[in-house]
Amino acid sequence: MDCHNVQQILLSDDGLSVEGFPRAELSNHIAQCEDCRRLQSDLARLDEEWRAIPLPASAEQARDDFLARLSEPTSAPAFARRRRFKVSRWLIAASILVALGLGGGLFVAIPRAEASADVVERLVDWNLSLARASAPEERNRILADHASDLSRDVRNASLPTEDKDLAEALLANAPWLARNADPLAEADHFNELANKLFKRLSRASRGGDARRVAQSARLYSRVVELGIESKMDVIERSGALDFERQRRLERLILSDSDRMNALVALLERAPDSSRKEIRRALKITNQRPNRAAERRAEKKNRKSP
Amino acid sequence: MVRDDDPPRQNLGELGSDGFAAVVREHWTSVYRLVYCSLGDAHDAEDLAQETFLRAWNRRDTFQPGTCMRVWLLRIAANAVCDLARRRKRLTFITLEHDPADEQSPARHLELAEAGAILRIALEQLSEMTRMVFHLRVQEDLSFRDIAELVGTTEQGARWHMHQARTKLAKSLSDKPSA
Repeated sequence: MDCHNVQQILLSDDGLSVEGFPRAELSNHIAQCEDCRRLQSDLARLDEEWRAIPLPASAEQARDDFLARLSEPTSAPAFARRRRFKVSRWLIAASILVALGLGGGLFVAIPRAEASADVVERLVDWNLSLARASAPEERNRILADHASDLSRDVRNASLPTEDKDLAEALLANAPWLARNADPLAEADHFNELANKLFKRLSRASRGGDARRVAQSARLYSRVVELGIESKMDVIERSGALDFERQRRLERLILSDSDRMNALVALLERAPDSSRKEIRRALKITNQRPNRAAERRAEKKNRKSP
Repeated sequence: MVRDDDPPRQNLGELGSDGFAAVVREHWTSVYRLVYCSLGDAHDAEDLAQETFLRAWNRRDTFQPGTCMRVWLLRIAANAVCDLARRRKRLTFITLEHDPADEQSPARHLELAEAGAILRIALEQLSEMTRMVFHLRVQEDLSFRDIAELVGTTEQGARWHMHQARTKLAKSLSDKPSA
């Protein structure tokens, strides 16, 4: 058992009782390993801090108000909505009737839709984890850990066609990422993924689906930051490139730069509800402004005598 | 979904408004906390906690005696959060210290701002579902099986969300400059 196994178990909060890893062995490892012990202690602190989040003072008052309404003469209490979230009683009643009319289906359908959308997010993170793992054994382990669960979840999820295609592409790319450790090829791969996510973001923005915009922008930022820029840094640190690889790198830089411009244009057209998330995506790209421009300038300088 | 530490099973369908009031008193904090930690806004939390109990009251005949009341209420609350997200198309998070309607003393504000740092990080970095899974695991001590059923994902998916939440939050907290 190595630190990776132990830390994965700690992060997954499996209570040190994962099948195949005896509890005693885990405890022994933690007792002897400073890094794992620190992680365990950090996670315990995290849980404590979360449990200690104070509730607003108004929480108890809200409960008392509710109980007061409950004891009013009518058994169907007049739970008027208050303040900013002004939805009238008839709307609450209507939503309850709709929910009841659907035989409770609504109560199941909404989280299911969430779960479907969430498969794409998990797949993107899985691809990024594969690309970020340095050792081939670690990549193979990450691939093996999640491949079957994610394949099953993609099969079972009711995804829109665009997401289904994206999910299948991400599934298909995972074994390639596990085998491949060439940063330029990986950056190419994530560049294609960033293009797809940008199209998804644009379509969602045109359709006014701010929730989908938020998710696409979040995924896009992560892919640009962790999948493209970090690989470009590795490529640059690795020193001189041959002509062919230099051309490929230039294409990547241009593509990154074009997308940033397109994102700025999208921001101008986007409805108010979508702008915050697009700005957030831009901020990530803008943190390195001009990294694409800097890279072009550096290259130009190198060419000058 | 039945847990050993649950109180005696209640038949909600047979409860009058007095009995239901006892249910509200017992579970209000759990429901309110889930909504508050999912949305980060006190007014939304009040509204949705009320809505949760209103839905529970209207659906009390569907409650299965012998199942866990707390989990049943938390599922309704989780759905109420999703409904709100759909209605608004997206959730607008309001940071705790900038809530204009929150009539609290400056000292209380400071206390909330400090202790709520982790909540703000969670609101910024985690998706709603990841936040909810983390909360249900840490605060409510639910099994991954219960959580998966409650939020509508697979058990493996719930574990993945937990892993994501802990990885991101632990990193953010360790990166956070100490005061």
